[in-house]
Amino acid sequence: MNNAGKDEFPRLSQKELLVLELLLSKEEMFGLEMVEASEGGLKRGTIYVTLQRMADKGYVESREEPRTMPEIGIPRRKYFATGLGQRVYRANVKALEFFNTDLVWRESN
Amino acid sequence: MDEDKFRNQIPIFRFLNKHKWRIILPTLFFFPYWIFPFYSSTKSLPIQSYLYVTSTRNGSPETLNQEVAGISEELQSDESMLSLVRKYDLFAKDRRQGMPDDQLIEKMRMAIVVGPDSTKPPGDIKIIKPSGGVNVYVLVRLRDEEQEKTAALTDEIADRFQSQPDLSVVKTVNSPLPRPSFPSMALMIMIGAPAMFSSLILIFIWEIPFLFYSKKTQEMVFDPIRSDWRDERIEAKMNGDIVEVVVVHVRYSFAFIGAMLAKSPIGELFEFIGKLAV
Repeated sequence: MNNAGKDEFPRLSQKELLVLELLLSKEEMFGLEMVEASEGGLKRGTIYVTLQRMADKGYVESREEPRTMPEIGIPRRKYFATGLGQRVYRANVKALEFFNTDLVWRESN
Repeated sequence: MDEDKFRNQIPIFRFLNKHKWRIILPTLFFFPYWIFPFYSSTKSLPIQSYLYVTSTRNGSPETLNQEVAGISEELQSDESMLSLVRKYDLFAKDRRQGMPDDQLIEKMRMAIVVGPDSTKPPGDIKIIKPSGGVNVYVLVRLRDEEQEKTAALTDEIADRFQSQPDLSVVKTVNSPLPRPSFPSMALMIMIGAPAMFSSLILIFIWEIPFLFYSKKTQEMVFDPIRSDWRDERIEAKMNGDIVEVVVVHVRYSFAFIGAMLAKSPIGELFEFIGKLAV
């Protein structure tokens, strides 16, 4: 679960933001699907590390999807954003929008 | 504790148990090539020598041709053929089985072909064609004989022409390439080895998480990578693209190492620094 204090703003890294963006655009996704959809933003080696961290924070959850015959092997894992993940994503997007607008306003003055 | 369970808890035993067929089958397959010397028989491959007789003086072509024809005739005489057979111990098997002399001579005549210049010599050998001169070729083509015998025989024939002051010989000896002991051995090694090697590296890399990472991390991080690797590998195999299979193995080797680093103290440190920087 999220260990952040109540007053602490839940900041997302660029990768986490991208993962949540992808998951919110499509209800559930496999890790490899996210890698392909991110067009280079996410790597095969780090996507699952990021997803595990996000799961620890409570932003995403996953479920195993067993393979159906004739497929065999390790079951695939599907990820989806939690309610907390959705709120954190929106808060970060708003914060970024505000931050960028503020920068533009300052630069124009 | 059950002995099997105990064995499975020791990583090296677990690894050996898990991949026993990956180790045993290639070992059985390559075992004969490891224990026996990698001898490649040239038997049944024709060993060919090609002599190009040319002139060393500006004589008329007719005269030179006559000289060459005289030596060729002498070379292909019955006595010469038989003496060469005996001297170089040719067609030993046939002689042991009692092949008559006339058949041996006939066989020898087929092996030593003398002919006029031709753009493309018989056989599939590459020749060094001398510029100018007369041009007669002598092709020595022996099947089922040792290369040394063919080379010695060729030298003797060359000497016969070179004994004439007006003639010289350009000699090309074709040594057949060693035949792969296994029909598609070379092809298999060329194509299969990188795929097999990259796959083996990956298998070894994959065992590392069992030693250093928690079960949860294995399930959440390394198992999904393995699963993705499997999917991409199968897709590449279905396409029949061996290069793509190797690329997938290499890509996932790096992905696995990347994930291990990211989950290591170094990765955690980078994550922590990243958080501080934000």
